[in-house]
Amino acid sequence: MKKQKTDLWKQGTLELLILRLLRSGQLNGWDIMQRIQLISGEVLSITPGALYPALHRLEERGVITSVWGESANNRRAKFYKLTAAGRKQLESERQTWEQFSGAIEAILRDA
Amino acid sequence: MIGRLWRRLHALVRKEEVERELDEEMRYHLDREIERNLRDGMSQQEACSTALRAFGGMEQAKEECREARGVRFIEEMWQDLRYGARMLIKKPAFTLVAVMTLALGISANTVIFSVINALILNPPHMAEAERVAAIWRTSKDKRSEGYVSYLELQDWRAQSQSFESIAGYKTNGFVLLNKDVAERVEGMRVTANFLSLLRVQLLKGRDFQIEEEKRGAQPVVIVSHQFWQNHLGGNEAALGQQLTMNGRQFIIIGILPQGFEFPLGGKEMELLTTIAGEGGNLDERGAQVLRVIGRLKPGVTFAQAQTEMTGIAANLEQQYPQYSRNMTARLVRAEEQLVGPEVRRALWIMLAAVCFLLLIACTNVTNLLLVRASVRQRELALRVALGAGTWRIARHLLTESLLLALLSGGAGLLVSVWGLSAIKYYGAGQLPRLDEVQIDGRVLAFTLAISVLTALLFSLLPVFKASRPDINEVLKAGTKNATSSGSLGWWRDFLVVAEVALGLVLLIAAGLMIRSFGSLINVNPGFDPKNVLTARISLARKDYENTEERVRYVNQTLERLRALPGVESAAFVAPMPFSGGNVGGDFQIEGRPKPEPGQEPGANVRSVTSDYFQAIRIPLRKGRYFTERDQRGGVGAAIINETLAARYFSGEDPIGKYISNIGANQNEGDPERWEIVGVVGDVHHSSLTKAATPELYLPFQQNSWSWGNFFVRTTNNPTALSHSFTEAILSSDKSVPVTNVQPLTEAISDTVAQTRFYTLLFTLFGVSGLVLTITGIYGVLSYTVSQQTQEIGIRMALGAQERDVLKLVIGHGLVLTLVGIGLGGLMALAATRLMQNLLFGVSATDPATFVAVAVVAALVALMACYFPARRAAKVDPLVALRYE
Repeated sequence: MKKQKTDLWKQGTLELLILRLLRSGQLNGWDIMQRIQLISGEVLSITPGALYPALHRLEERGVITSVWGESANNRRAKFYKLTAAGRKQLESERQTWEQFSGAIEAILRDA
Repeated sequence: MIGRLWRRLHALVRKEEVERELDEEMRYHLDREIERNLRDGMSQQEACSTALRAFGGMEQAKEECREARGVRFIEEMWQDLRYGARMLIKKPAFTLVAVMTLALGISANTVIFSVINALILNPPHMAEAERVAAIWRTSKDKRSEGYVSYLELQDWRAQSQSFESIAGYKTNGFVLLNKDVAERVEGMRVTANFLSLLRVQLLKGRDFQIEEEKRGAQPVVIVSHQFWQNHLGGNEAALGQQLTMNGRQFIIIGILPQGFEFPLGGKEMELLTTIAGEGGNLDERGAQVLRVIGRLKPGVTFAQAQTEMTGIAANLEQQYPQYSRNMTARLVRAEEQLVGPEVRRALWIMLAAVCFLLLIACTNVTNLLLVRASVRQRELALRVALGAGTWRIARHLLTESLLLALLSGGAGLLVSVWGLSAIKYYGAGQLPRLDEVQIDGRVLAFTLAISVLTALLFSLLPVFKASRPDINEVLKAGTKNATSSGSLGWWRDFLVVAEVALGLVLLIAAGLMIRSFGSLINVNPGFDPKNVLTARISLARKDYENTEERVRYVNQTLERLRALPGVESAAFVAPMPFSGGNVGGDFQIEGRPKPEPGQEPGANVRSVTSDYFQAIRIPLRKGRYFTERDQRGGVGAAIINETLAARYFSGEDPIGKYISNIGANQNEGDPERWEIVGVVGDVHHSSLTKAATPELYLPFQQNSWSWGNFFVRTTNNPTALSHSFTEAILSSDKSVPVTNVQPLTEAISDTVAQTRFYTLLFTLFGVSGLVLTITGIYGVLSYTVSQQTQEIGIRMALGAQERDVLKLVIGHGLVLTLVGIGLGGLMALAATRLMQNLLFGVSATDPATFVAVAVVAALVALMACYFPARRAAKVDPLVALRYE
């Protein structure tokens, strides 16, 4: 089913990326999607079907909030930004990720 | 947390707005995508379809967003509720049966719980009741409750440290004389600190002072608010006025606040005076006339106070061996004094009984749901196939069950309002504090809780079974009765067995109560209570202070009573059997060595006119009855009962023996010595359950009392004579108050009323349980038969006879019933032991009752099996084979 694509994106990983992107300021859903594609050099791509539920989940958990504002082309769009709780979570998840990826890397390199 | 809750509520209330925002958000994304595609040089149409494809299922994404918001959960619940309500309305027969069944169980629980709530859980209506205790003078071996003399009370007050204060009181009726018309008013004589111990603030006036409880003090009275309103016009000037009570003048010094009640002393208290009115009793250590309450000092525990009182009692025993040998003091908490351990126990047992009833009801509804579940299996399987999760289906079914249970809870609550008024009506006088029973917040919470619990209980099995159907099997089978005798059939059988077992326990409990009640009312009281009408009178007036005047009044009144048409005989007695309590007294037997103090012979003493025994029909065993010749002056005549003769004159002939120093109610000029002239049969005087006690009868002419009962034996229904009976007594002297006019049979049945009340309730529970069980068995077998129609058709086509089919179905039902009865019997064996002290004259494991009830249950179950079996046997094989 459709889920297979999001399965590549483990939920936590996607959420970590969203939090990281929002650290530098508020963004709307489309921006987030574009940036992930752009920054990863088109390696990572996500569907809106995975992105938007993830955004709503994060908002429901209170780590991000949303406001309606003007977008670059003067249209009304929904912008998301980090809350204090979100910053904390980003920090801790980032550490966890670094430990994890460091460990994997070490094994791949030396084993 | 609060923010999240707010968002949820917001989402729920402003659903449209949230939907619009979601829409707009998605729309924006799509538009940006289209724009980019256009920039990349696609045509308008191509740009749109590519963008939509890239989005990949917008509705699903929205749905996931909604779920992430938690909106979906609530929305689905609402959906389930509406769907559930529709299902309940569409199947009115199912709904009605289920709701009625559950409402019966829930209302029974609600009623019993509200009684427990008022009697046990709510504290007594006294300020800081948790520090108030009743203190009784009891013998060391027995746990009986004995009254206390004023001198002993004074010793307790002086020697104890645990109590803030100790007060004495006795209930006392007063004859109030108002312009020559006498009226009997209930009241109390109390020690001066009584009201302050209870923390009562007077509405007006002042409290008693300590000197006013001493002998010879100026008589003062504090009146109730009601008395003040009804008799004194609610006028402030009433303070300082005088009341004529028992022929003496009392000054009104205070008015009690409205709604004053003293739960431990009976509730209709109109007049409060001090114990100064007890006169000589105050100086007499043997005059145990007071009931005692104490208020513990803050921080003192009951155990500490009890230890101290035990010590004080031991000292008093040393000091006054002739009065206090073998006696001790016992504390009873106020709430336990008010509602004794026996009533508490009975109530908890009843709660257990109604829980059983509710369990049976649950079992029935479980069965109904299982039947429905197998019909709905295709519907549910289809939903699972379409992607509904197990939890989703379970939630759906649970919501339906909850709806059903809440509906039943509501219906049950309505029924219990009615049930409570019935309990209050039939239980009046049998249970304390019954007027406080009501449906309050705690009862409502209880009802809600058991409704929800019930829903969980009865839907557990159906939900478990239905939410994990084997999709392939069910959908392939294609017929509505996919699983007729598979795993569900086994569960149904189990439920029938459980139901029969539970029902049997209830029935056996009911059977034991009925047997117990039967043996109680068959006790021979020792006299003939039929067609006897009694009335209590009180001669507590100056005109009747000596024996001559009392005898003249009583004889004159008896003449008038005998002259009434329809009256066979008339007599006077104090105290009347079954209406006046007992008055005990010691005596000495002449010619015997003086017994050890505390070992003197004792008996209940009764003063009777000479034809008493003939009139009430107590048989003479030896010697003679009293006659008119037994007059004052010289030696008195006494008659004893068989128990007294056996206890104190075993092996000798009591006739002609002399007794003296009778320690009860002696007047000046009464005989010093009494000759035993007769022995009469034993009589139950206050309770049919208690064994007869030694009785000593004295002639009224020789030992007159200032109160007692007139009674007449009538040729017809005595109630018809009530009016002329009362009038005849009043015509003798209208200032003598006449109260408690009632047939003697009624007075006796009052004493068995508690047992009758319990019996009534248990019978009700038992019968309800039986009815539910029968419907349960009937329902299950009917369903099984309808599921087996095809099978039966084949059997008949292959040559099975009607008889074989009957045997098949009934045999199945009967096996289940018998297993249930076996299990139920074992359960009852364990459970009814708890009932032992509710029972009289029958053992809690009475084999006769067990067997009889089991046989009745088996027969009734057989009938419930017969009708479905009959239907099965009438099946036409041709129709059956085509039947789907």
